[in-house]
Amino acid sequence: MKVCIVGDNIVSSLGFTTGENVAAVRRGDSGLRYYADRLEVPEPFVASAVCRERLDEAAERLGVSSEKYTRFERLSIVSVADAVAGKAVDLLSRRTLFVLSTTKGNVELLDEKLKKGFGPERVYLWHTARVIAGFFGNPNEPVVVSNACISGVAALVVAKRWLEIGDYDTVVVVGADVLSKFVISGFQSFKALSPEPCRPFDAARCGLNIGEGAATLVLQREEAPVGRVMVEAGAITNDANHISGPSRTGEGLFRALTAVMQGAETEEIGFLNAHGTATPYNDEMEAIAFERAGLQQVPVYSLKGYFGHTLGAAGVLETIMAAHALKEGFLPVSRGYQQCGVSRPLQMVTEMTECRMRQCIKTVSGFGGCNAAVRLKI
Amino acid sequence: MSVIRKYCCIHAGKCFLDGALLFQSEQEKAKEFLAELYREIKPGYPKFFKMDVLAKAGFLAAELLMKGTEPVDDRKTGLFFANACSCLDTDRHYQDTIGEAYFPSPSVFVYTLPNIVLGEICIRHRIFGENTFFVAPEFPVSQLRRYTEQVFADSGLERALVGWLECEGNTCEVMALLVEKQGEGIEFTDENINRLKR
Repeated sequence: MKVCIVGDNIVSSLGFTTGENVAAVRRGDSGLRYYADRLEVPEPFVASAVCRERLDEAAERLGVSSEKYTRFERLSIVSVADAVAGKAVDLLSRRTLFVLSTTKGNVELLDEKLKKGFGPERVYLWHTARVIAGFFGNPNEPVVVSNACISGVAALVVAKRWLEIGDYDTVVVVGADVLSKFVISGFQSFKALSPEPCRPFDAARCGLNIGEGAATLVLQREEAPVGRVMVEAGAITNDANHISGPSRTGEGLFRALTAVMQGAETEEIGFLNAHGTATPYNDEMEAIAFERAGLQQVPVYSLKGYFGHTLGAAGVLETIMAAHALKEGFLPVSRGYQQCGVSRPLQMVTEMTECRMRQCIKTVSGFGGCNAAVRLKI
Repeated sequence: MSVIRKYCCIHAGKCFLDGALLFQSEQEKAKEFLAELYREIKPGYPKFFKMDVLAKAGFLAAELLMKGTEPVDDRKTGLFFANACSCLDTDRHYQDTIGEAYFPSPSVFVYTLPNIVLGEICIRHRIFGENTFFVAPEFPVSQLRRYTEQVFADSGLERALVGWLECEGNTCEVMALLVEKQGEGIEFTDENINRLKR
């Protein structure tokens, strides 16, 4: 039995379907924009935002009004609805589980000015998850994974395990986070934001950009999958080093990579979709871990130059992009990269390349010293 | 059969280890109680005082459970915790710093992620294994137990700290278990976990 991707969706600054997002990345479009006066953040910032009008339109069609549902919930519901459309998925079944990946959910409701008519319970992540799963009539208590920037890949690992335990036939993993003053100001206070579009692994990189979005993966177990992308292996680890700084030795990521490479040869891996936030320390740490894991010859790219760092959505969104890169046989350009800026040279993808390989790895790393990786295979 | 090797329950005012009262005080506010408990068990870890209440509670529970246990291969220990409020108290604290008076602090912001407590425990005990934080309306005993068993079965993990770490307002409610894949101890079952709760 294999855990397979049977449906997916991405709602981001680059589009409202996976197809739109893949096409935009293939064209080289970025959703990053400069905002001088948004969210009441005193300093300007560069971020990737979902189009409000399009979200209103898409949510309206589903009857998800902004009076009853928060922006976070509307994004998530729109994403799930598209991911399951036309698929043999029974969301009403006890054998279908929802897993929500998020760092901050509805945190913007803590701001008195943004609270509107929403009750105090709405800031609890489990409640938000119930609202989303409840919209689709799912009878199970949803699982919420909140593991900083690795939440999306961690949720995928958790989903894979629940399918393997056998209680569920389908797991719907939805990852989401929205732009808020809370998050932007926090990363600004860390001096982690780049004043221009980010440049992962580049010599001139100087920080990350925050993005928002929702992404959904629908997973099922299949006996003999044909043409499906399978989640072959997944691992979650910790650096045991620092709560807000990446390990100097890439220890946790190295261990996650070692775990997901069990049962695979380096030569079989077509590409590595790195976390690549474009902060000086993160990218350096990743380069060290990739080299330690013997993957320095594998082509690498980061998608942060297209979507920004979409936090709880990132692991899901970028895994979907990796799955489609495998399916369609292409390597996306690592946007923003020009000149090597890490101590261990990597095979950065600098022009759109064909990829005939059948496996890839997606990695993420986050605050709290956590790291996660998955290996996909078609 | 996996076993519970040790277990610990902390509420503001009382701390139990393996069912026996380890420490109590008149103090009913979580933050102050946890500081008293720290002084009682003397971990000698000044970074404790920089942590938020959630991280303090998890840190102390882990301290009590890991004390005196024989070391295992550091890849083979994992952490699986859940709570209902994520890190909302710290979120509210941080939100207060970005209103009219705008002075966002990185040292507060970093604790606005519920898995930071897991990072703190990993640093203290050199734990490199899986660390996953779940949010649920109440202690998802069966879910956490079955998930832990599955990780034991598929990942080579042999030991885990598992439990519930709820801290909101002045209250805290902690139940943490040291679970081992095999060995001597209390059978790791839903009934036993529910029975051991204080």
